[in-house]
Amino acid sequence: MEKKYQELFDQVHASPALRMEVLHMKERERTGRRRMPAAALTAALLVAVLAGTALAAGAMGLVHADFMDLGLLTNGEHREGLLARGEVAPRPLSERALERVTGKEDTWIFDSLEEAEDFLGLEIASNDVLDQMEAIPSTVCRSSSAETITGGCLVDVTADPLGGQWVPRTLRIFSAYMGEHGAFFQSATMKAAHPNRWREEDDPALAMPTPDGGLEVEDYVTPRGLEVKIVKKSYTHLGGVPGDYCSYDAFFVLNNTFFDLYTSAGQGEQFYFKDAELALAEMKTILDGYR
Amino acid sequence: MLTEREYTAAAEQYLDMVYRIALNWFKAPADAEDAAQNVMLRLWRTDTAFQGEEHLRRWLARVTVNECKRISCHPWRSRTVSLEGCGEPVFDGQEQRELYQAVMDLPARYRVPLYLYYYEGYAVDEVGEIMGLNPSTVQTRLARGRAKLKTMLTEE
Repeated sequence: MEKKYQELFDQVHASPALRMEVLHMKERERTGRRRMPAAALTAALLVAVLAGTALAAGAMGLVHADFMDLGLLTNGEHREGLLARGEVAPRPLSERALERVTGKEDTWIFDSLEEAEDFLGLEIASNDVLDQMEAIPSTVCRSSSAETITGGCLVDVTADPLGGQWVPRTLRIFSAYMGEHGAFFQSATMKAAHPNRWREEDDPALAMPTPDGGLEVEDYVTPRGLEVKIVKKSYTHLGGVPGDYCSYDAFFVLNNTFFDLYTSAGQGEQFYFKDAELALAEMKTILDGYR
Repeated sequence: MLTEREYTAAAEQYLDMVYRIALNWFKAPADAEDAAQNVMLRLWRTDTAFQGEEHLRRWLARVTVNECKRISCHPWRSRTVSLEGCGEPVFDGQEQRELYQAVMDLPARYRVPLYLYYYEGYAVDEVGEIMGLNPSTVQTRLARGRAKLKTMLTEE
């Protein structure tokens, strides 16, 4: 069996597209322009490739993305989807937050969103509805060591090296809440202001390949006038198991912060709600609370 | 940092290894390629002074495993559904197709140790070092993975 196993993997290779991408990496600037995660890289390439997608300051936009054309695709197959991008201005951080930036990537743990905001020296946004809900732990992986981190509020920090110091680039603040019938996950991404900041043009973005059940977009405006794009992703299979599953991402920009409020619905413990309509209704209630 | 020539040589030599480790982790070729791309970027940017070829190879294996863990745990990753059958490897014979399916049907915790041990030829303690596991845990996973694979192939 061992021989057959070896012969099997002798035939497994990375795609020509990936090989070309990897070998051409040498042509890009090696230092300074740190490669972003795939989702944000999609954003940068789209800015270069697509015309007429400029956003007004503080605006939030959804752009159709062809991952194959952007060179992010594998195995020669086209995968399309949407790219959510928010235009935000950099936000200043507290001195102690700047001093704490000592590497390319880090995850800071706080007991609560309020503690994180206090430490960072900023307030991301107020939400009357979330204030009433129970905050529950968030979980992410520390990028540098791949260990799992859980905390009341987690802050992912990315930075670039320059002249012996680390210049913060983005912060992503994760927090989670338990509603009446299910849970919500809030991600708030902002650019860090710094006199040596690179790449002002890097706006927060999230790429969403079209799932097997399709994508739907709803434009929603809260009573307070906040303009939100709600993207529903539907799945007919998950991990090989057929069924009806969906997730909702509500994207908006507020206080120069790119927000993604997320929940999911389906039968199974991994989903935050059992009923999709209820999930959407509660999501809109929360959205109405942002100010 | 590697010179351009050193990086190219390393990429040509080890990209398949990196991809295969990631494929054994994720099953989905698209996710495996994302991880492989990130790993090669790390290689391009690293200032590690490699003490020979084996040091480089093991560094890549360890970074690949760590990158797979990082991607797996990221909130966005857990919300992405891989389209089954998208870009799967193509094999000539039915027997190999069945073997591949059986390997990929194994629980994830067995697939990567099996690959590192049986294909890349790492010793048990080396597999443990790459994956951040105790050697005894690696032994157990190898034994269970082997047994499960044999059972699956016998039942077909």
